[in-house]
Amino acid sequence: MKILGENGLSGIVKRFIDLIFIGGIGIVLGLPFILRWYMDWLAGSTSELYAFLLPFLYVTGILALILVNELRKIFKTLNRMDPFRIDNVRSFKLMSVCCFVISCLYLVKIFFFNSFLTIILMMVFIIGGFFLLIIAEVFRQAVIVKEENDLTI
Amino acid sequence: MGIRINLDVMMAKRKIGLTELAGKVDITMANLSILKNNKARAIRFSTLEALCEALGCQPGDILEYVPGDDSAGSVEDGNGEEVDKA
Repeated sequence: MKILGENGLSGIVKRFIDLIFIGGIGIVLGLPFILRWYMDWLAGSTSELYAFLLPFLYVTGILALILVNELRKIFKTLNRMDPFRIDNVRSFKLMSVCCFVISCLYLVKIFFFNSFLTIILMMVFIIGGFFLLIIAEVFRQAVIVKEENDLTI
Repeated sequence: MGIRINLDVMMAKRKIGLTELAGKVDITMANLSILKNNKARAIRFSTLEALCEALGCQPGDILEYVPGDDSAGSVEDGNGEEVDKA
């Protein structure tokens, strides 16, 4: 199976990420209503919880949208068969920053409204942030090697 | 890098154009242009051999060492800093 390219696996994943991005925008825009509906459905929720969760989900949601948008940009270059670009290094770094900020926010949430899922998500975003930071450095070195190769006649 | 490519001088001596030389050496015009304008970072032995064959010259006729000339072939990293390849 073809991995890279518009008709390859990366093309399919890119379309899937596009859907996630559009869905994410919809959820962030309708967050007050969705959260109210969810909390009405959930027994035992308080207005205090709503007041905490709304800004929390707004900030983490926007950060997640930035993260997904950067991922879309990376997949665009993958589909063009030109992934070793300095823009992708910047994208990976920005994504790692987003991951760290999200994990910090989840850390704050542990102290106020703890749940097992919160701890897992915080761990996932911390590991994801480190992973992305390492990938960014790998890509930076790859860009240098590619540039060197391109200028070897 | 203090190595300068004198390809244009040799081409003028042999009265050969960029397109014709690119065809003879079997490299793209873009790459030959990079080489001619001293923008190349390195040159393969196979390219050098083909150039010498096409121009009927020695590598020394194309390459020249100029002490203290740092203008050619530098590679920059993403932060705009020159990368030391050593």
